[in-house]
Amino acid sequence: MMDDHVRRIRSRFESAGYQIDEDEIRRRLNLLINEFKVPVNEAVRSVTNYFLKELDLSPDKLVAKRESPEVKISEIDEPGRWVTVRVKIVQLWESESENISQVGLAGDETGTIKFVIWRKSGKPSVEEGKSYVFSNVVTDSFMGRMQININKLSEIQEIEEDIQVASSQIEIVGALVAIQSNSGLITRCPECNRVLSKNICPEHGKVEGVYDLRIKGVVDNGESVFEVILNEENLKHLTGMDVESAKKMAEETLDRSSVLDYLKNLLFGRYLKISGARLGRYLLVNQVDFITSVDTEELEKLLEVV
Amino acid sequence: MTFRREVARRIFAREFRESSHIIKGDDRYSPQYLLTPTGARCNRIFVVGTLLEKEDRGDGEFWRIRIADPTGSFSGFIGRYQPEALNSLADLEPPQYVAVTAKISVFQGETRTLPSIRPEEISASDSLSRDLWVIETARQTLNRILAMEALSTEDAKLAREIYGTDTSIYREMVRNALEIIKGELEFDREVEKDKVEEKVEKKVPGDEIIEDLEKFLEEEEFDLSDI
Repeated sequence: MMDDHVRRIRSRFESAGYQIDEDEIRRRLNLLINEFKVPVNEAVRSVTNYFLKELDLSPDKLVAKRESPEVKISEIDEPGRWVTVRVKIVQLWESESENISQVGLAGDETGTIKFVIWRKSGKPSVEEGKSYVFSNVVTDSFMGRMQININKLSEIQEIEEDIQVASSQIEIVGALVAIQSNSGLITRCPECNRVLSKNICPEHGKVEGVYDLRIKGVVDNGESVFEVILNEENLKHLTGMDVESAKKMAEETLDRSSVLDYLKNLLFGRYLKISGARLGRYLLVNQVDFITSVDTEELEKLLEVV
Repeated sequence: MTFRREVARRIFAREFRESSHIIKGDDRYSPQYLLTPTGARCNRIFVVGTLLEKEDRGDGEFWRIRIADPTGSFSGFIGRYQPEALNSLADLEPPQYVAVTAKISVFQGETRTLPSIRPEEISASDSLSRDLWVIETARQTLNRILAMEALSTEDAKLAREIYGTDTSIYREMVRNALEIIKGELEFDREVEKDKVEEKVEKKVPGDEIIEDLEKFLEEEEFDLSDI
């Protein structure tokens, strides 16, 4: 009985990286429980606190090392659970809040989930396409959807393994009905790839931005909407423009927004065929093409039915 | 409560003009919808048509526009609260093909209600996109007509109750729109045939454009280094 408690206390410190003497634990527990008749749980707490003080540790250090069970994303169905997941970062989104360091979509072979890395957690940045173990993250429900929060007690560890992400491949035809203003020729932080505003990264301060070309927009087929990001490769395929020619245009016009105006002219309201993976509101573009001709067969069929 | 972007519905101008029933939400922040005679519930629409008029109604800060499709025209207003559209409108001169994503607003007068559009974005378009839009809008309108005839959706039932919709009128509207596109495609094909015969010894026009562009860029570069 006593030995169990001794071992448990020792191992809690051990998994946080600290060795403490078992005899010392036993002596102190024994004193409280058998001499002073203190309830066992109070005694355990008191002894634990004693060692924390001795080692000058904050109590979180021990909590953090409490093992949370490894689960698959599809198993995450209630808020407030501490879990560990092995995931690949599918997409990073722009953070909507000062308090959020990174937000995006992570996936494993059973599904995808939104993740939020809180600024207070002090974690290093994750990168799109890389795989990680997120340990001790907390499940949460936001606007009716599950997400995972990475806080101070969580851990992020990059892994070699390339996690396969489940997704439903779809093909849609729709019009590009909206283009967001943070599109066109943009600059990203060289450290964390975040999109910069005035060459200031919320995490890394003033940096020398790396140019990139993209369109963030909405494709709509009259029945559903899909948020899409067209990257440099997609845009080059559609319009012939790449980062280099976009930079040239910006230099010649002395105005970066001329690139967005130019792309808008070619793309806004145009019908596109996109194949990719549907993940919630997002359609991750795999292949995108303009619709280049009218489907006369459909036209004839409609005329027959109407 | 989840945030969801409203789908841009596909409605022909004539059906839009004949719509008057507004569906309001529970509080003043919930979105408003216009229920059309064939039972489309729309808060936002997407149109590719011909910009017929743009009329300055207030020092360049408030414009009335009219956009035509094969069945009629949409009236719209662009003001300071649609900065993107206001900015883009400056480069557009009627008549011209345009693509528009717009929110719907409805004026309620003494005797009747007038639906109009508030473009969020408007941009130059082309005849291909117009054709694709007409076919897409025809298909979706026809689907609503079929649902109404079968009374298979709640909105179809509601629309029939409110408007007493005679679906044969809207079938005819869809048929006419499709016939116009079909006629134009056949005409284009004839013209293409003539062109191909002329073009045999000519270069492909696309090459010329690219050559011109390259020349232009070279010159520009030269100018820049001069400065």
